[in-house]
Amino acid sequence: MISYKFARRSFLRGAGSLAPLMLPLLRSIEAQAAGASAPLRLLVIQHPLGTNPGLTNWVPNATATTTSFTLPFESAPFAPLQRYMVMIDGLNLVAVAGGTSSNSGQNTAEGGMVALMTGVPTSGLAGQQDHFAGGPSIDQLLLQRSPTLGGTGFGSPAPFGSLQLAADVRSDRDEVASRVLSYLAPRAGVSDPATARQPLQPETSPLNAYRRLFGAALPGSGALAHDLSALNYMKRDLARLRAIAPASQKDKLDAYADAIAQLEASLRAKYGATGGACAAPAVPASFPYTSMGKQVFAGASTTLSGVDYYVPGQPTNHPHADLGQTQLRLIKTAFACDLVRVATFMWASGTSWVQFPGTFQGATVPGSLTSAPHHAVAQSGDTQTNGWLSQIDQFYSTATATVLQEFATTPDIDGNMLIDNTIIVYVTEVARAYDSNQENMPVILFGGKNTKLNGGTFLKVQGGPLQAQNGTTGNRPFNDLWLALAPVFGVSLTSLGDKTQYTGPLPGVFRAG
Amino acid sequence: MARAVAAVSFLVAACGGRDLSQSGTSGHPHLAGAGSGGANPDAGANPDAGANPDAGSGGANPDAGSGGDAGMSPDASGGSTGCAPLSPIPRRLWRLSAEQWGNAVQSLLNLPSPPVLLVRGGEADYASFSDASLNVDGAMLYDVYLRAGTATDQIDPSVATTIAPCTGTTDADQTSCAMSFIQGFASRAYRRPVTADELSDLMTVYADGATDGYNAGIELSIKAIVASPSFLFRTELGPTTLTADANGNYPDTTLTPDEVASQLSFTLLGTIPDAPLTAAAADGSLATKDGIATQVNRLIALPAAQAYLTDNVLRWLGVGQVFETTKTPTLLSRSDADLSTIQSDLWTSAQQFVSSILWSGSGKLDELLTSQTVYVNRRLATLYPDAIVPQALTSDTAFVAATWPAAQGRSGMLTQPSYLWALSDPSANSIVKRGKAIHDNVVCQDPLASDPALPEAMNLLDCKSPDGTQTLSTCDSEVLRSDARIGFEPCRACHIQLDPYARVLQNFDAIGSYRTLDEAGRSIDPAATFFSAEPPVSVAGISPISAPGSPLAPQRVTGAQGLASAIISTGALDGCAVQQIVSSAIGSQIQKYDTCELEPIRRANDGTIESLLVNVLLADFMRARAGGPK
Repeated sequence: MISYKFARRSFLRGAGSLAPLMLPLLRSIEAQAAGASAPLRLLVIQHPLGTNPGLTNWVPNATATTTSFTLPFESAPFAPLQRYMVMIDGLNLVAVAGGTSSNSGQNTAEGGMVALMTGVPTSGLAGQQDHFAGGPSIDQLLLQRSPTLGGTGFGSPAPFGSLQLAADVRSDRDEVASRVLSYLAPRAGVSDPATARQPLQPETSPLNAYRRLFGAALPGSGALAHDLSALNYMKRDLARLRAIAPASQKDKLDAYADAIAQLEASLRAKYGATGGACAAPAVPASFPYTSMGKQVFAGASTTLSGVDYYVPGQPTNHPHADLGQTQLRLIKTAFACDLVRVATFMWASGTSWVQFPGTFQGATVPGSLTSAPHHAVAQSGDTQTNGWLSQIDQFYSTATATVLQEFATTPDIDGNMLIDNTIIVYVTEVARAYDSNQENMPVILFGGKNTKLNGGTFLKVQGGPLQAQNGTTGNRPFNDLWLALAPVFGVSLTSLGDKTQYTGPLPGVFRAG
Repeated sequence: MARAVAAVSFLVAACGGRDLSQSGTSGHPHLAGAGSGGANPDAGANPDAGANPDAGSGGANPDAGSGGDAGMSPDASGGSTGCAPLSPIPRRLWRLSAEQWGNAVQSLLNLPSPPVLLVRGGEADYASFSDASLNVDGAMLYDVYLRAGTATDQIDPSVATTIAPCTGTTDADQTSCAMSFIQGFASRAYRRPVTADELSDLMTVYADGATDGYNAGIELSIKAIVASPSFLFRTELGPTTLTADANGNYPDTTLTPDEVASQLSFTLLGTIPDAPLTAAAADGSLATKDGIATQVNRLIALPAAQAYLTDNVLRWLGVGQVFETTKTPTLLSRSDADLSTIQSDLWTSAQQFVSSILWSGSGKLDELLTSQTVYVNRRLATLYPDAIVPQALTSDTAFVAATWPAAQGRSGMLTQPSYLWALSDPSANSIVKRGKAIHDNVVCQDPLASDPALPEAMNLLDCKSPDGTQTLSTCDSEVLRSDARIGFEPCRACHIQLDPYARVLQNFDAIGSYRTLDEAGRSIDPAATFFSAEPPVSVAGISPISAPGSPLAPQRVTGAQGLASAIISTGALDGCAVQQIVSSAIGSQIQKYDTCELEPIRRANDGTIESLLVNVLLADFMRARAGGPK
């Protein structure tokens, strides 16, 4: 009897030079024959510095209903995705101080980044606003506890665990808090909170991220089976080394074991043996820094390097947008290849130093500036500046929506589209820039049919204990959204943070069952 | 030579000091030497410890590293009083550096040049040694597998004729050829005889690959071997006959002859053992110090070893950063060459400078600080017209020995263009970079505190008072910025130790050209005072800041030649070289100058590179490995 494996090889050999072209077809046949299902994934995307005051350019107007609404200027680029979206208005970020610090970071961009993602009290503070995360970020918490996401202990985990990418991480005073979204749980038994916190610093180079995920194109045309034979030997060699190495070297051997798993996954992706839209992307361009060395503006400074929105003298070159979209597309492919199931992406730090033109999309920042860093001028609060900021926020919506639409048109292994198996949370660390207010935090969730998301919904939060930007009461803590999200990934989460930081799962976002 | 130390658990860098890692790793903890200071938070409790240069015993911590096993470090008995013992080196696996992996593959396959890994697995670019704490991560293993594929593609035309010769055409013939090849190749690659199990498994790989022909089978087995853990990790486990006690603990042990051969070869050549070294391991001669000394002396005489060690000396000193440091075009206006060409020329110039002293000249390390020679080709002579060349240069490939005008006061490596270029910013020299490089790597002053990212420090970087209310100066030169750092906490404690080393080099700009006016047009005064340690400073929001005092303190020094004289008269470079070479040989940066095991080596060293290497590699701690749980 001829085995399926042998028949498959014969099929491909018979296809000769057309074999690479036949692989997607074969994969599709195989996947459908096997009744393949796609894993559920989580992507958190941050855009810096909130929306305009009162969210008038962000949320639908007063005539909107839950299911009938029109997105205004700043969120309008997401209109093509409206059937996949739940826009929420009425969640407040609640920051709580912990450790020896009495500064919670409430109503700061730095504290907002930490409170938004961890939802728990901080464990201390360094410098001016470098708040220490007191717990794991929600993406890491879910990764660890969710059988759906394949975290530790649930078998067949995605080989790379999670992915943290960013377009830019320059931050005031180079502080960590405002330039990190993801954290592991603080190290146990370490009394110094600065040492105990475990930020997962995002990668800002698409080329580095690509190399990590996909390597470069392998030379020659060696078959996957041959490479797997070599990998099998490497595993056996590892087992032999384990037998003679002391306990102190276990971490090195475990790391090598993980490396083999990642290499195998990358090779399968490279040979198109994973399914759906999985194919290694083209090697990304490198993005030379457009700002490096120390920068000082309006009393703030950073010594980190980054890539700005524009290059002087090159009006059509927008490297910040290109870089960010390249990162998002790498995440998209990593999802399709099941290299990761959890990812976070930052457009810029909460105290963003990305330079935008002084006149941007028709709006001019005061002061006759050729260009200005996003955050440093954001707190003046005047109408003209707010108009400039509004254009930038609309830019981020446009740049993000462009790639999210690709999620909606890229096939997944199960025959659906990637967005059908992906929950995307679009967040920001403050509600409005000028005073870093954190009432009515702008947030949109996207997801298709397998995500249980109530697509096409504008959800106005009511009945909560917290005050809204307009002075009324009825808002709820932001953590209530995370409590609603966790069960979708099979995680029971009934509380998160201090008692002031949650009330219970936010209804109306996901379908029951 | 004992040195006073305020033994505080320090990291690296200080105000304004970043991106200066020249050690083996970026972002990884150090194992050896640091254990004493890091493990005992009280180790630096005596704030006066560094105040008196002769008070070494008072500053050191007698309890430091008390968990160490004296039996593991018989050399330590000759150490200075109050020194800190080296933490025992455990039985371990030691990952090859990116460069060592490439060199080893080149050696195995006789490639014209080594494959270059772009992903270095946490190893800093231009690291001066292979850090034993590093792992193989997914990105690195992918790159290893990728480069292995490129390498086997290169040898494909010669597989059956040269690499794994085989004239037979039947499957049986080729399988026999393959077995013979794999047995020899894997043994060389693994630096020990290959086992029957390994051979059997590798023949399976060959058979899988050989479905596409003999060459494919051989090439697949080569890829499997050079990406396998037995190739990527050096073992330092001792004899395989070692058995655990009733509690599951293995005893202390020593390296096997095969492991000693690997140690000597990777330390001196950066690659796998050659045939004589392998033979010495097989005949048992590496079990004796005489046998080891014979091999060390043989290896040191090899041009390949001298080239490898020259490069490592340059990386230890920080010259590797010449490739990472760009320059503004106006500084290069005299040159007709592009930036990367100049960088490459500077590296070659530095190689020839070091090589001429260490291998063709006196061999004395101190001469690295005094020589007036600089090696230039036509391009460099054009860029540095002050260099006095013996004749007009027309060649861009040949480098000749030139000298400097005496009035410039140049002095050895400290004023070589390559060194000054590497340790400067794009448009201006950097007092922090230069100061820290000399502090860390030329005199091996114990590490400083981490950068206090406080508003006060940020204000000082802008030459404002710590509270930001007063402007201290126009802040338009490196010296004025240094004045601000030295003048006030939280920067002062560290920068009074760092900055003086660089302030005496102010006569040399960002590419190493001589000047008499600084970047703001002011006259340069290349004098600086070296300080003993000051009492720890309490700064709100962070731990008290302290810094070990300079081994040159207390004295005032003028110019590069004054600095070189001070370093030589105190024996600081020779002492530092021992610390750096031992760090390299054990794969872990030793943080404390007064480490017990280093003192006997310093005493035995006659100041030459040969003496230094022999004494390091003959030290008992190099082969002793601590037991522990299975």
